Amino acid sequence: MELINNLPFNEVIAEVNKFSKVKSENPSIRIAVLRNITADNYLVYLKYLLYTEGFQPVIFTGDYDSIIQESLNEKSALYQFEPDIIIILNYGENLVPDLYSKFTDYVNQKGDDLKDNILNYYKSILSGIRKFSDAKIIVNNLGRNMIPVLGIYESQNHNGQNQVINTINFELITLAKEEKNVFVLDIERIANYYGFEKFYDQKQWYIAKNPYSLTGHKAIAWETKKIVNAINGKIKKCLVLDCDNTLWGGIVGEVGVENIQISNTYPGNIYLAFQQQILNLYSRGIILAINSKNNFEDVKEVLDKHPSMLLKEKHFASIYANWDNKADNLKAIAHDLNIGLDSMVFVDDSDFECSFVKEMLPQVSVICLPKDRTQFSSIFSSSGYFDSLSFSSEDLKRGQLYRSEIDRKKEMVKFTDLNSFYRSLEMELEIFPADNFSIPRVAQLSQRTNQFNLTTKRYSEDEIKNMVNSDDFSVLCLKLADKFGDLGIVGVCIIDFSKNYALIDTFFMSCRIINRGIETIFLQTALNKAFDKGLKTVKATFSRTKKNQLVESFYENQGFSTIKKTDEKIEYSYSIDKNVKMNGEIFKTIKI
Amino acid sequence: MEEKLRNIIGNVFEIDPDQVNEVTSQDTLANWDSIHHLNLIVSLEESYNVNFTDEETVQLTNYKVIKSILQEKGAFLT
Repeated sequence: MELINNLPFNEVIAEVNKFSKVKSENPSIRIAVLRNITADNYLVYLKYLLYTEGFQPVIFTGDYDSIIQESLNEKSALYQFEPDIIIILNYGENLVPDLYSKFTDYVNQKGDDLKDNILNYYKSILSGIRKFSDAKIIVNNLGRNMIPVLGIYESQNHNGQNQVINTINFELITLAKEEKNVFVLDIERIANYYGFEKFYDQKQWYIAKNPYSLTGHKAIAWETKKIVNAINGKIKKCLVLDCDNTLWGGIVGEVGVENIQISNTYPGNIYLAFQQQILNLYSRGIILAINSKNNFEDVKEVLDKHPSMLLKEKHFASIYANWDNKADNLKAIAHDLNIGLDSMVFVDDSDFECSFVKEMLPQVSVICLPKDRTQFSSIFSSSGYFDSLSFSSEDLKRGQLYRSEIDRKKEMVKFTDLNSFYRSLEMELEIFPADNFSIPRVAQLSQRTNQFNLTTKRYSEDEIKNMVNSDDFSVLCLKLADKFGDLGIVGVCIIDFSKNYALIDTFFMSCRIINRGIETIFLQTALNKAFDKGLKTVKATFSRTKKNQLVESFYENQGFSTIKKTDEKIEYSYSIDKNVKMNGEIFKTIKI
Repeated sequence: MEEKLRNIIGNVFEIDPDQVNEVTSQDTLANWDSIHHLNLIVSLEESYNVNFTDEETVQLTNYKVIKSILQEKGAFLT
């Protein structure tokens, strides 16, 4: 679980200082923190998280170990502050030292005295606050005791320290329900997640009454943020998912429905577990949608027919599997479902798609899947996007309700400013004739590329080598790098000059890079090549396969005229009278 | 010199890192109280991936000592 982008604490301090100096229109939120610990590290993280969530936090910090005095006195500074939310941070060992470090006196009576004392304490502060304030209350439960005074005997009977702690935590939930708007912050669970040694800091405890490590403070602040968001109704409604390498492993358009990775064994089991997490969200009332670059039929076939898929078509309220850009699709989904873009979370494995959506639709929350796929299944619980403070039987039905509403409106809204996004990618394009180093890759790509492939001619290394060495052919490679890394050779164009016109024998590109304006530049380069050879006509063919309907209109869109059309193929022609001037403004560099 | 260290100290005490130098100490900075001291210690431990002993923690009250203890622990000061 990666919280706060792993920003070092010291930089978080600097960010908070910056935020606090900027005037902001964001809604202010008044939070009082009562404590029996030194909570300053926690407060730094909490402020940072609230600022980045779009709040303007105003914080009141109670005096050290004065929770009772402050909460039971109507005239205390706490109530003069008029908080929206009161957070009560109690460190168990400081609250009840006897329960943690000196338990032996209580073993024989199962810690009953301790239990009663603590529950009475909670009861009096919670009901005390309720007398004087309507503020929402967040109260943490007790962490487990990791150094039991009874050693391994602790686990052999019902009188141990952790039994008492469990009972107190159980009863705290009852108390919270009795008072209105009291929410329990589960420190016991968070501490276990990170582990005792990582979560606590003994040295800071003895020196400064600061029991938690930075990891601990960060995690508690993160959990607080989730509750604050839920209290304020900042909860996401809709989960929008990519397909290839997100819902299943592999690209269905390339490998076919039967070969995608989704099963009980590695690596399919990663995707299976991930789908179960998604299905759990569906059962909690989260609407699901698909936004992927695929042929719609391929996705539908996977959903309908693949026996291992947990997610079926019926679970999705809206499915956009097409070749449009994903921001447009998200707008269409929001329109279909009649929900705001700010209530959507988009999940994709591609850095490109994630930053594209972030750039075009900053209101949408984006989860970019980690490169280590085994981390997929914990991302929803750690993000907290879908955390709410309730669960109802209606939640179970919500997905279906939305689904029945959709088919009515399907309208695409287009963007006007794609170019600024493309420029931000810092794309470096290189087009060059194939050489001995690139021949194996060109042959391999010709074997493998199915979707953006105009003629789908498969070539061996030797065949490519012959064309490279022949004056009648030009084999052009397209290489792309952007700020996310080097993608290598991602496109190939083979031109046949053996006749009195140029024939585009082969033209294909990796699907990852389409819709960035690259295909146009690549084709224009081929046209210029023909013009430089003194040829006035370029001919091209689209040969239909089961997988390449994506590029059916490619040549037409590029200004070619149709000469002959059959079910199997379409033949085109293009007249060149001058060198085509290429529009390369969206690229950082173009090398041809 | 020691830009990272001066940045950390600057962030904690809300001063320009250029003002942090060899004589900076608890006596020269008015807001070097126990809370800022705590923030300084945890910042240093995290940023340099070191652990101070409890005694070191209370000794780290001026720039020279901070530098020498960090160097002792093999921290890379840049």
